[in-house]
Amino acid sequence: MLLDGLKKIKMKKAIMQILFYFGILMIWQISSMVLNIPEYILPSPLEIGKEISANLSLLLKHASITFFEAITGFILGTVTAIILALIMVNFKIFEVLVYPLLVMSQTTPKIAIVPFLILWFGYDLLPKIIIAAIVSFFPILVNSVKGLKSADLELLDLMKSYGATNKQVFLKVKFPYALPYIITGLKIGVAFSVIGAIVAEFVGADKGLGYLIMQGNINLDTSFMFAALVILSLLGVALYKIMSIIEKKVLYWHPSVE
Amino acid sequence: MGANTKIIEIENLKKTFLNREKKKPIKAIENINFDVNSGEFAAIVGPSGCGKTTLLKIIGGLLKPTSGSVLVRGKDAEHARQHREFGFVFQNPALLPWRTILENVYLPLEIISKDNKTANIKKAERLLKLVGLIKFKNNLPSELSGGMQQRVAIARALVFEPKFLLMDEPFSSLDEITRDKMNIELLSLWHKLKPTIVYVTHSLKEAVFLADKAVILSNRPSKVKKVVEIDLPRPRGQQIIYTRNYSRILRNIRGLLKDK
Repeated sequence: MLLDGLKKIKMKKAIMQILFYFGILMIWQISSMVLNIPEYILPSPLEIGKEISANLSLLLKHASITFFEAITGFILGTVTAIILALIMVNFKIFEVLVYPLLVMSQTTPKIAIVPFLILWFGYDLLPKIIIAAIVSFFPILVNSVKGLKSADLELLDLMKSYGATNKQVFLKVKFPYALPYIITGLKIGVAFSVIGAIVAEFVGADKGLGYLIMQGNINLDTSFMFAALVILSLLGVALYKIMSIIEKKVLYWHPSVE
Repeated sequence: MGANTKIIEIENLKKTFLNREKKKPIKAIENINFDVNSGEFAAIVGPSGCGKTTLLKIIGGLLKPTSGSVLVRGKDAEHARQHREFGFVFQNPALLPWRTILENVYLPLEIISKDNKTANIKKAERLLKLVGLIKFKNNLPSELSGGMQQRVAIARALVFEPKFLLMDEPFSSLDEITRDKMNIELLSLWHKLKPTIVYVTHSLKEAVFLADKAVILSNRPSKVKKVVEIDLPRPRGQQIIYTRNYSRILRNIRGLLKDK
């Protein structure tokens, strides 16, 4: 009975969401027709939809490239961030020495280093992957460092009284305690990685969704730009959603997960 | 084990901390001497912030004293800790929120002897039966009340059969009704399993109700004001607090606290 009730509430929420967004699209469509806004300024949802279906295979091909850049960069950023976090937490001196450098690297606008990366690594995917890695790296690092320091002090005392080894303390207490923080970092990082890939494509690329948007801009093909933009945001939403599903699986015990 | 053999001996114990800016040292423990006998229930009583927790951690070998010594059966406390002779229960249950109740209780066993999972589960289940929570073995800690969580913490502390149970205000965050119940349960566990208990509390009533001996501490830096033997009959039930002997001992201790 209770479960049925919960299901009903979930259904209700979903229906509300659909109605809400459908409503917004309707208002957009109607006002664009009534106000007679030219397509090159702001295309209507229908025009964008037509554009997407006409160019679907092209859009998906380029989306897969951006996806590849973002996800590879994200994984690269994640691995480095977690390894660095482990080193920083275990060797205080490393934190003192390296942290200012990391903060400085983050305050430099990423777009400013893309030309250098292109100069060094060529025009292909590698500079995009590197940028995606750099932008996703920082939130994951900061959160992991915080998480690895967040274990309950009394639990650490208890582990000591059981005669636990450092490895046992890490695996059974410190790492699981860090997981909610790490996953928060991953959720921010995965969204950033898409931004990183796109920004890098803007500066210099011959493929990817960022490249398509630039092409649309040059040709004043606003509908096409919007089509690419829609695919891009769907890509971001999908990645974020995947992270949320992983979060629910891993953090089944955490108060933030219903 | 003889009834009156000294098993923990605390001599001239001092502990000084450096404060945050590391400028001036703060004396937490001035000079403490007392003994605990084998199988005894000893209570350490003192006002909040007087260094009781520090004292308990030193007894359990988690902190080193600045000077003086804690000897457990003639050897250093740290030695006893390394031989897993201490089971701790803190004010906060400190359960692992992602583990079920059963998994929480066998955590120490998993660390001590990881290969013997079935035996570990059996021992954990036995303890859960003793604290009356076997029905909840597959629940997560967040699904249990504060009192139940603390019972899990006690089961976890006893599951590897430590010689000593060191408790730091374990029931102070519970409501009074639950606390009374937990005290009686603790006494019955103690009768069954016979660990030596060192129990830190700020409640005189609780100390008199539970313990054989109450070590009364002063304000920080703490010194022993008095060690009071509590010769109330056992087993003790709730009605003991209405007896004349109980009131007499309580009044006696209160008097000691007044005339510095």
